[in-house]
Amino acid sequence: MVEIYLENITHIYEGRTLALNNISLRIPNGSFTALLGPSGCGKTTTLRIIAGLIRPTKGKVYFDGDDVTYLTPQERNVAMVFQFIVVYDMSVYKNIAFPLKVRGLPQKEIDLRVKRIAEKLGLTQYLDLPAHKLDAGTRQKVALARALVREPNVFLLDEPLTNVDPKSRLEIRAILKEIQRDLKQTMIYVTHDQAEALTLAEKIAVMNKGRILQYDTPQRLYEYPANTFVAWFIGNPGMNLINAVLVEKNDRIWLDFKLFKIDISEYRDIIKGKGEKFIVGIRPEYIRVLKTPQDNYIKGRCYLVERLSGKMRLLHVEIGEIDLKIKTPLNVKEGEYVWLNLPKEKIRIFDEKGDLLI
Amino acid sequence: MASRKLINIIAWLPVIYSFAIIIMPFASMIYYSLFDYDLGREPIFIGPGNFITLILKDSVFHKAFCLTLLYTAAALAIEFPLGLIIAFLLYRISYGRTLFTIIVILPLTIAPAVAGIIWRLLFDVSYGHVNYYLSLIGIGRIPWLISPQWSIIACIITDIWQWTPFIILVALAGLLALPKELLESAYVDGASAWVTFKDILFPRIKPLIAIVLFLRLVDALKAFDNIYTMTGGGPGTSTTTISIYNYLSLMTFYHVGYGCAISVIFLVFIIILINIIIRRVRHILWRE
Repeated sequence: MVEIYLENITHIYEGRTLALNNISLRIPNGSFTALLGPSGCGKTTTLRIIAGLIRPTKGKVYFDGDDVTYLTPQERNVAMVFQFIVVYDMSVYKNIAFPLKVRGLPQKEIDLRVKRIAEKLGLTQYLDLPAHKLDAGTRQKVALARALVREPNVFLLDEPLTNVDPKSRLEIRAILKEIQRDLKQTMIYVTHDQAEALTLAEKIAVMNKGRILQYDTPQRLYEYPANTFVAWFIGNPGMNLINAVLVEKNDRIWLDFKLFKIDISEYRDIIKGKGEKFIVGIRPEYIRVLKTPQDNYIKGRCYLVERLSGKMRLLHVEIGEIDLKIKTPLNVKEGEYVWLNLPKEKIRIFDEKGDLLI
Repeated sequence: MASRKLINIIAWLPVIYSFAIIIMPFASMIYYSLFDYDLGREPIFIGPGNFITLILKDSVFHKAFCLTLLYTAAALAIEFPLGLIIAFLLYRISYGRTLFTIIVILPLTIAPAVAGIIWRLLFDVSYGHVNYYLSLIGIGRIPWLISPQWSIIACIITDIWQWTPFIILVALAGLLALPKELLESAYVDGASAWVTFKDILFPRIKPLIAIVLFLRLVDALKAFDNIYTMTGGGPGTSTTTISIYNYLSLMTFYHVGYGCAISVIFLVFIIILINIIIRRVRHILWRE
């Protein structure tokens, strides 16, 4: 149960590939953190650096203030579960007991701990069976048990549910949450599946191209993304992003989208001096849509309708050159005209570079 | 249709070929083993006569049998652990593994007969390299190919030199095929190199090793080339293994009937041995 601090970590593979670009991250003690991002963003590299499997090209790793950058995984007391399910060629009992046996713990103590963990994970009936003959879900549970039995400082998981069948996936997710709650274990979970991250984690670090873009709770990531990448990445589908130009007239300022305008005079102080071009974002589920004209509503044409689960639909609407996606239960047919309203409080404004202003 | 018939005829050709090249000589061998037949003389049918002589009266054959078993056991007992250890060491290094592997498997690339010739020179009592280097560390001249006891040891050493690389190659390939997460997991769990190998890696390559063990066993029992070029079976009969004795009987002394009988006995022996081993090793080969 430690706090982990990554200080200015840069990592280059084989002198050529820049995997991590000067990242710093402070993971609180006892928290469940997810590292989320597209393939190749550096999340697995980060995890392995925390584990001690890789020594970073530059930068330091601290556990509770102690510099562990040069320590082995053993010395850091980390436990790791891999995407590729790792189970040794021995009985389930021996698998789970393995790290304890390696440390030379007395047999009685080992027996106690193994049985306790097996119980927690529902493996008791499998204890005497050869581990490599069981199904994927059970095997991953064995790997999990083996990691937990050591009572490590940190628990690292690298996309552990990718190779597991869907039913076991739900089971193991529930187990992970339970464990984290009961043991107050510091956990770091790497995934590219945001549904997983959003359900499991207390805080998520969204990464892209070797940088951490935002480290925040799922709610804040959703409502207040720090930049356009996070806005677009989080959510299914992500935030609508449209280009706009700042226009000043009659002491009022507007964002001009060619076919419509939005008055943002109240943000004058924040907007001033930040340039002329902006990116405006709003989530599909927040756009209000009607089938009949209304004041302050913008006309658009729905050119594609996707059915989602339940009654929800995803409408693809074009307003001139602007493309918007809207989530609504409203029964709209392809080709119909709709009227849209973008509620001010749900609009997010990003500057040209993509950082959040409002 | 015409083409169907043609295919049928063509399909028989390999069968006829096999029959001619393999089955015929094989059948002849069994046939002549029942005769008292020295090349040039008339074959006399004696049924099991040759076999009785070999099993009960021929002390050279008895010695050859024991030598063959000794040679095989000693060679395998050293090749296997040595091969596995070196394979594991190669597995652990990250830089230059390819280069080291190439160097290590060089002995495998030359013909066994050539290996025998090379080592005959190396084992030369007065001018050979082996005795020279031994003298540098204070060990006196060993009468390698002169003494009955040392000559068989020399043969075994040559076999080890040449065939350990085979074990290394296969074991290394097996290890490299394992997922790296397996090794990493063991590392994170804190296992030492030895424990990692023994408990985690080795069980995974057991089927591979079993197959290689099997191949080497049969090969070592039949070993001929390196022994023949190095000692010719001598001095006396001290390196006359079954293969050598077989060859000598047939090609040097032209005891065709007798030589064929030796071949048959050896064949039967190997078949029985293989069957016993497969039965025992089955559960390792097929990891159900």
